[in-house]
Amino acid sequence: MKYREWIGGLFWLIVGLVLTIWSSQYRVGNVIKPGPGFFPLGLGLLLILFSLFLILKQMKTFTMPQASSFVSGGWRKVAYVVSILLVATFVFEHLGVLITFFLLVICTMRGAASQSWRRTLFTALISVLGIYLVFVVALKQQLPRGFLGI
Amino acid sequence: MDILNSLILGFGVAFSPTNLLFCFVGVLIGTLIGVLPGIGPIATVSLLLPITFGMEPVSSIILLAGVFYGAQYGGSTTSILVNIPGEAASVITCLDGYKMARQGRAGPALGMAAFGSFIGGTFSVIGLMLLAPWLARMATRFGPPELFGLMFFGVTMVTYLCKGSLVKGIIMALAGLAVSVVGVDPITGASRFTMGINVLMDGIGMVPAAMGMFGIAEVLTNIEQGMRQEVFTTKIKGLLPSLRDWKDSTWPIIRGGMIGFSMGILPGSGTVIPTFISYTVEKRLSHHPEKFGTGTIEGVAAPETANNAATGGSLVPLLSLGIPPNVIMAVLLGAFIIHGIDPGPLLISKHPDVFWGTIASMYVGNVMLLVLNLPLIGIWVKILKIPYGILFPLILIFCFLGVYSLNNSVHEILIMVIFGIFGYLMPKFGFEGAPFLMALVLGPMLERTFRQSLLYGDPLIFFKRPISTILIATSLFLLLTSVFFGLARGRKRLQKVLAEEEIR
Repeated sequence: MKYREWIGGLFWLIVGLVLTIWSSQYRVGNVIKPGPGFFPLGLGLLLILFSLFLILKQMKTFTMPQASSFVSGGWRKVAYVVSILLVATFVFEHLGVLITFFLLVICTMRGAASQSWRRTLFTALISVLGIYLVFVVALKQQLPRGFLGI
Repeated sequence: MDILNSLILGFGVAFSPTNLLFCFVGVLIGTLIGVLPGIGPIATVSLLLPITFGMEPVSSIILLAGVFYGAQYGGSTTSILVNIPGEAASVITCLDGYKMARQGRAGPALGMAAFGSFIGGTFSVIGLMLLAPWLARMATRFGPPELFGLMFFGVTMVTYLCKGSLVKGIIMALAGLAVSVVGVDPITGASRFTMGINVLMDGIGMVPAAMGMFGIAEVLTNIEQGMRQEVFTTKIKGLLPSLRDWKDSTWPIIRGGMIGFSMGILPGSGTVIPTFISYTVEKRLSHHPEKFGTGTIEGVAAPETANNAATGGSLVPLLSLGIPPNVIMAVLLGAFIIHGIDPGPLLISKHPDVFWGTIASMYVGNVMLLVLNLPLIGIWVKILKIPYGILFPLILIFCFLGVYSLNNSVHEILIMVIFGIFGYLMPKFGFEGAPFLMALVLGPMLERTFRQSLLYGDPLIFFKRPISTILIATSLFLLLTSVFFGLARGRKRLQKVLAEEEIR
């Protein structure tokens, strides 16, 4: 599983490089008069340093990563839930809070947790009703009402 | 009697009907999320933050603090009954607590956990009350270099004490700092790394980041691994520990309280490490160390006292210096800032109602928690049986609601989801979230004090003032020796002890 250590190091090396180049475009100033770019530039350089250190250490020794591994099959569910979340984010203001959450609960419970339809619909209804009563009626929060105006 | 007068003021604040209600709601929610595995106090406090906008500052702090210490009570319930820690701070309670439950002694285990928590919690509030004002008086003389030193030390300790590789911890802290510079530069007004996107002008908020990394990411991880829940169904009877249990637990509780409180003050240790230390200490001091791990009451009493004592301890640096010693305190710091209270040495003298009101509410809250956790234990056990398949969609929609009501911005929801993915993936590569979030919260202040210090005209200013010299030199010593010179034996040994205890 050594490659995973490589990916981690490489990822942060790239982030460090981007940060360094990007922040050098702001006024860096000097040690006595630091500009807006001074602090981020330092961070970028340190990131490069430590990610290189991580990569070099991997070349010398083989250490067992302490990372938790991916569960086979599990990532499918994760990818599914993430895409539901992204879709929900984009439709949130158009559909309104109640419809979005209703659909969100149904999609995640059916798709990722394989709950029965009865249980799913019950949970979705109760939670949407609860949110309506607490956040809209009682706390009067400004939540998107969507195209239906509810 | 200065303290007495202040306490009277504090109890006046805490006993107002609204604040009593908020204190109760806080500890109730705290216990609830403590019982429920899969949602922790960090996500909950950030979640509730937007809802507290309209409240009085002191009410909101009372509520949020209640969630924090309430969670430590609730966490023990799941550890004892299900062998799943409701909170990270209750991991060690599983060892003896679950064994006790298996032997039919779930009642005394739960009872002792609650009493130990109560004693630890109360002890730490007294400590907080005595120590914080004194520390704050000392800190009024602090300038930017000292403040920078303190925050640097805080981030360093959180990084140093993280579980995995130290280099990775440092990388995560640096990444957190890098994210914190996004937005308008507070000193010159130049916008940085915003790519012309309006939402990024105000910077990346702590709330979306915290909820992504500790709320959404947690859900994703649990979905991937599939939550198993086996509630140990046994009749819980006799919650009151026997006289013998009390005799066995007296010293562990006293020692656990002291270890918890003093460790809680130290940056980085949080509420988890004190539990490990106090468990190990009890095992070393015990006449029958072989009984630890087989269901001995000391193994429940000591860590449960320690984690509650640590809550009061960790409030000390936050309320007296404005420096959060761990991630939850960092989120609470965000609450202070949102409510226009400048956390720092002047907090106690400028806002005595907030400081003393919070302290008084913690006395009250600890009593409420004892009532909530002992007679009502049956309700919590029922809640434990709610399947995760029903729970996680609710957690997701609450994360959505919480982040949206912050600024009514869908973009912040998107930021939260992105951080959720980030927080889910990073542990797969051995990177931990805590140093990242700590650095993200402290980043703006760290940069400001750093640059203000340099304006003194001397780059070596940090090493010309005693307090900042000690703090920065200690931090650098810890980091550099363990990263570069292989002198990491101390840290390795500590980690090994912790890991061994966890496995057993």
